[in-house]
Amino acid sequence: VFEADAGGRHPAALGLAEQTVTIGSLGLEHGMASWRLGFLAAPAAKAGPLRDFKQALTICTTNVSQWGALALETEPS
Amino acid sequence: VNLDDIRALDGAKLRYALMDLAKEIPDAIALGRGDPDLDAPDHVIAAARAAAAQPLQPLAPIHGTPELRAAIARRARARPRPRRRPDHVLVTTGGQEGLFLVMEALLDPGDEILVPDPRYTSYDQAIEHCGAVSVTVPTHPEDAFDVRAETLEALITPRRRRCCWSPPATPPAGSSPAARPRRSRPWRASTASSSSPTRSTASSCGRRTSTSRSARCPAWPTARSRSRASPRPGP
Repeated sequence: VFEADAGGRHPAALGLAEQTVTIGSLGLEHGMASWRLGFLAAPAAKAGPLRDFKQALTICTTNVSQWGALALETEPS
Repeated sequence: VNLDDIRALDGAKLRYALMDLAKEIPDAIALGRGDPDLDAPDHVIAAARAAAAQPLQPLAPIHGTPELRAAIARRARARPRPRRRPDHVLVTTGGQEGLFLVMEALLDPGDEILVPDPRYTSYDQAIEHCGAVSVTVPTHPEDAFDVRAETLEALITPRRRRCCWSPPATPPAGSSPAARPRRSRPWRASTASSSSPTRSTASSCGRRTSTSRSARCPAWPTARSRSRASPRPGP
């Protein structure tokens, strides 16, 4: 949620990238908690299976929220 | 209100009871659920309005729009984090969905996973949902609630190869000082970490002892392929 400097100690920075999945939320610090946006960043081999789980659970994340999040990511201010 | 009834509750039931209680207090301020008193930026609202006004509204791709996935991958590249391409990114319905997806993929019934204390309450719900067990890693105010590597290392066993790590700590919001001496050995020698629906990182280390998750999720690396991919010795 809240971006932090992990002091270079993120496990992926310590050689564990292939065993690490990062989970995050988008826009919470910008009043967008109700937009329900988050993400996973996973090694390629794991991203596909996680997508299959998501398809079974929610099919996709709300289209309108994603375009709002893109505006936030590309123009943070 | 019978306070004895409330005292007997735990977890989500306690939260709901307290929220119901708070409704009776006109000027109560909710501090427990992450509801900041902020408005979304105007340009974000405008972008969402424009998207909603499109005449055709197909479902978004399962893994998210290509544009947003690329933006998230660019953000990851800007920090000392794994280099992720857009095809490594999956847009989720809140970080909480991501947390449940990862736990569902990583954990089998009876598995144990290391989680910091204090922590985001949904960790426990997701772990219990999988039939797995949370093993608490104590943290301390003087460390800004960061996990001590030596504490983590002492808790790792063959059954506990997975760990959630959440910088900054959630909910206390402490973060790891960049100047703190880096203790690389325990992380390298053993396992892992994960981040919260704020920001978490879930990692697993070494070999898996069960293949039942692989059966449900065929493309997930098996014990053999995973150990080939990681020459580093497991615990």
